[in-house]
Amino acid sequence: MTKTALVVDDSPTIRQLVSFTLQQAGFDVVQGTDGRDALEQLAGRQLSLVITDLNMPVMDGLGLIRNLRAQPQYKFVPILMLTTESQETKKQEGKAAGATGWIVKPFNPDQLLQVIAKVVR
Amino acid sequence: MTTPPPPNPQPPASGPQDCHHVPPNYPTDGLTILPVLAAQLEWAAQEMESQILKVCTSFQSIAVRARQCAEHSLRLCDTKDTPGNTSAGISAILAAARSFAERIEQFSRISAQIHSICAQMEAAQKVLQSIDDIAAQIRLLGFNASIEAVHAGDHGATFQVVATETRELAQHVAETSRSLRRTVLGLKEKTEEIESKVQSASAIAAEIKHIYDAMQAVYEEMRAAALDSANASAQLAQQTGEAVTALQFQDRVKQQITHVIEALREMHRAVATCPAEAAGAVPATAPTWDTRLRAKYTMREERMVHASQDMAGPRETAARPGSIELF
Repeated sequence: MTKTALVVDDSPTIRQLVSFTLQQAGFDVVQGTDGRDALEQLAGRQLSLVITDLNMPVMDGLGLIRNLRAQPQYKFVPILMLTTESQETKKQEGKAAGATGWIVKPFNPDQLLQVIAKVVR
Repeated sequence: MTTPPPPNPQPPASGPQDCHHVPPNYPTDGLTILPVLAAQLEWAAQEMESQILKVCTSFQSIAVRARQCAEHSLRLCDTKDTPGNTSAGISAILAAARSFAERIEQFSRISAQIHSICAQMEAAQKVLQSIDDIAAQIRLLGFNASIEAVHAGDHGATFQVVATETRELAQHVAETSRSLRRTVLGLKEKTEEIESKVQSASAIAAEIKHIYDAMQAVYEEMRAAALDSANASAQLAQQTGEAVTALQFQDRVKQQITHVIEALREMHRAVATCPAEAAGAVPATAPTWDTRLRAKYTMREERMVHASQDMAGPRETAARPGSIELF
């Protein structure tokens, strides 16, 4: 069965790069331009992975994580933050919200897939 | 990652004479430029994003095609006997050609042996010629013996029998020799015919061997070229992937520009609606512009650039891009 990943970033370049990397690895990809848009695109479908930016307009990455974790079907879905932010306080906020991991941009596609292989079953 | 610029040098103090040329509406006029600057920056950031996205898409397409090309080239070199495997098909043809050439070479060795048999048959014909000569001499001997037996009268009757037997023996030997010569001649003709055919086959074998050698050389060249192509394509895919990764700089630059645009617009709004603030009479509770700007930053690079302009500000070391932490 094909796995579905949610990719959320306000930068079209990053959405394109991450989506392409995941599609090459066999994922179906749903894209969102911010947290609110991602929740609308999701429409309750099953997910194997979420990769989200932190700073986005309308709803940021932390808001999205909290929203997803509040829904039973997304409680244990791996969520990776992919952000330019590297401050330790921000990382702790992400961890507290329910993020599974933190990747500082720019990312290397091979490394990203290695991390995904560790967290996605 | 680029190093933040060094602190700005202090601007030269302007002399009182410069102020005489400043028009009275100079600050207000400068204020109207702020939204224009913001719009210019916004357009530049959007244009850069749009173009980088196109470049990314093209590079990713190139990387995929390069990887496919590398896989196809490697398949050309693969000698495993799988359906549709070109290299395996060529290898099979070459093996069959080699086997055929080897068999024809064996045929050439047989040709040499046949040639040797022909030479031996010529020797046998000479021996048969000698036997004919001996038979003629025996016949002559028998004939002379018969004459002598007649001369001897009754005493020669027994000798006459021996002389007759001798002539008959000579006749028998001559007939046998003729028969053998016919047989040897027939064999020699057949053998020469076979030898001629085998020699033609050997010429074909030499031609096939030549073709096989040429095919083998071409195949080896093709295989080497396919391997080179596979390596070059794999390298191209890797380098294109690295280029695509490097293009992520656009995301960081756009964020920085966006923060600058927000700050410019905020400053324009505040200064345009608050003459006291514009004049420098800021309420004690209001955050300073420096604080407002710092609050917008989401990247370490931004904080580093800001700190480079403010020797007293907090310092940060460069972030490690691509660092991964699992919680």
